[in-house]
Amino acid sequence: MMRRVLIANRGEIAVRIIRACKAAGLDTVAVYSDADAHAPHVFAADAAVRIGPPPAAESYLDVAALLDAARHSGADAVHPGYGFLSERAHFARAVEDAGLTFIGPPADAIERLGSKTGARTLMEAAGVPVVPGITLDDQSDAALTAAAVALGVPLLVKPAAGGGGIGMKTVRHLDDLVTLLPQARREAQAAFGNATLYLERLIDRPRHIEVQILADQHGDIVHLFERECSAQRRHQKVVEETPSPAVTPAVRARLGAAAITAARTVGYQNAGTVEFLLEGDGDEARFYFLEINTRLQVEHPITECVVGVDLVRAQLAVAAGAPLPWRQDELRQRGHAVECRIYAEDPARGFLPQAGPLLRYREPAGPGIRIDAGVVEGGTVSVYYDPLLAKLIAYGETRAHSIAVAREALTRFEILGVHTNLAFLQALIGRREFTSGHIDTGFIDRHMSELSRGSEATPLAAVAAAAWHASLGGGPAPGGATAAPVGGADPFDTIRGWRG
Amino acid sequence: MGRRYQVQHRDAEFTADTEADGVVVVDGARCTVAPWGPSRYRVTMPDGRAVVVAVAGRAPGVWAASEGQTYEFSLDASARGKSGTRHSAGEMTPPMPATVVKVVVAAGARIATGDAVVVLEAMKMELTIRASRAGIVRAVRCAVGDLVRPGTVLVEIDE
Repeated sequence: MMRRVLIANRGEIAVRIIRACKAAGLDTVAVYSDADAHAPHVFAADAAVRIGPPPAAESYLDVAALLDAARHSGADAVHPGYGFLSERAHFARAVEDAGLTFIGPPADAIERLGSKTGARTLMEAAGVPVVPGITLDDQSDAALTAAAVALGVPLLVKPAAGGGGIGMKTVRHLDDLVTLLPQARREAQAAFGNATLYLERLIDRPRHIEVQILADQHGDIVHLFERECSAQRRHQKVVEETPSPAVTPAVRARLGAAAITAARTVGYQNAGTVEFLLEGDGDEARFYFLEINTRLQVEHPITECVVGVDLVRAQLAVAAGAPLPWRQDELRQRGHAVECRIYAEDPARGFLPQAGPLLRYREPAGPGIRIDAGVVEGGTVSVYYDPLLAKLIAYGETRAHSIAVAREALTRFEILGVHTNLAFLQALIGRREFTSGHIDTGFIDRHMSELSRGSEATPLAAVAAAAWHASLGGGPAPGGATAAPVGGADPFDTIRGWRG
Repeated sequence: MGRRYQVQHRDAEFTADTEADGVVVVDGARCTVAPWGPSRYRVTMPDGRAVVVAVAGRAPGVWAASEGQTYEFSLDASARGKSGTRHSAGEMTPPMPATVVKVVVAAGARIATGDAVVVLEAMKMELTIRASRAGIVRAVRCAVGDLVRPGTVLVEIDE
């Protein structure tokens, strides 16, 4: 019987989870580092506990501090959000060992899926298609080269203990192996502490298609259809949408079945996402298992809009032991949703992450617009964490309608004080290739300079307004905002708000 | 009223003269600025077109949002004819927001081009700021632990 949930995260996802917990009648406990003492997620919860200084390693990644916070606040459940410790088996295990409910899959499932080669082997055995590839015990150059000849170029050399696109080498000519293999080993060792490599066929211009699944503790699993996440910059997602314009009903059914098989193979529970690479078109498109993300994903809201569900609410119910809230035949996709991730980064300067005060932060609102944000006007964007400010989710009856809603909403999003990728997002979703649905995972990188150039128009009107504003003495302070955060929390003020 | 501003945006510089009743002449183009909500203005351009602009910040750092674009301006209201707040080569400023982790030089030190001056840390990367010219350190304007951003002067160097 869950009563009080500690949200082991920050920013927009912490706010999102807190709201769902409250709607479900649960008490909420937020945690914060000194950099987040005045952050929105702290004020959204019923109680808040300081967990350490700003660096993530000393706060949001500090398992002991988080468990202490749970103990002191009387929490009986922990939601890990995404990122941070959400996919670390040792954290899930520590939460379970402390007698708390971990709102996510069992620690065993997280562990088994953490090894990319282990997961591939499991899936192959279960009959889920995987990217053709070869894993080898014999890691010598000779053995790897022979395997490359057998697999055929083009191929990718990948770290077995890796993830996130790090340390991958593209091989188009077998001759390149002599230099690329040692390089790959060095990078794998440095990034993951493990130089083991495996080879995978390179899918040219693939689409990244992922399937949302939810499993309860009674053996039932459903899929909530696919999301298309091919708009990526250097393997980081920028825009996501659902349904995928490239997936036909026949392929959708096969993807859903494969995702459920994948989840069942590892005894999965709670929410997860099965990622695939898709190549080809129409009913003949081929897909290959890539990995399973054992957590709620950043882009989950687009599924919520199109399927008409609340995934966090469902996570809470499943974690409390309830059966799945829906049967597979009750789930439908209706309409179309697009999500734009708004980052504090400067596209004109190589997407350098930004930090600074949010002098102005005004969200667009209206029919079909949902904003999940973790910042407010008057707050500060710090250097310590991922620079995601907000997610703009636009819903429409059709794909074209949802893109139109997104474009209009982006022009009304006012964020001043730090550079953001707002203009970049507008350029991207205005592209012919995007509106016609022909984006692959390399598209943004290939057209980077055009997309990040910014407007050619001279900012005369903006200059005039800025000069006038300055002549008035700078204008009124940002409306309704708190002052800039005071540095350093009171070390004795560890719990604020109600304590039961 | 009646102020002149040198307005810098990336590599471009504009001259804006504010007059009475919301008139602002930007590089010779006469615009009219009217209030349009808190910190928001409706600017009528010479061709009659109206553009809504939201503005925040205080000179020299003024931000504006207009028609989906965001602008970071540097405004200099000093006497007519003087150049803007472009930093001279003798003022070293960081390329990105970061934390100072080490100050290598002290006031009075003689340095050569390329010498390390300050070490910064951001997003788990270390960045060494090196002198772009030889000279003598006039002043160190930062300390270990300071949070700095583009525009913050770290060190001043005299030739």
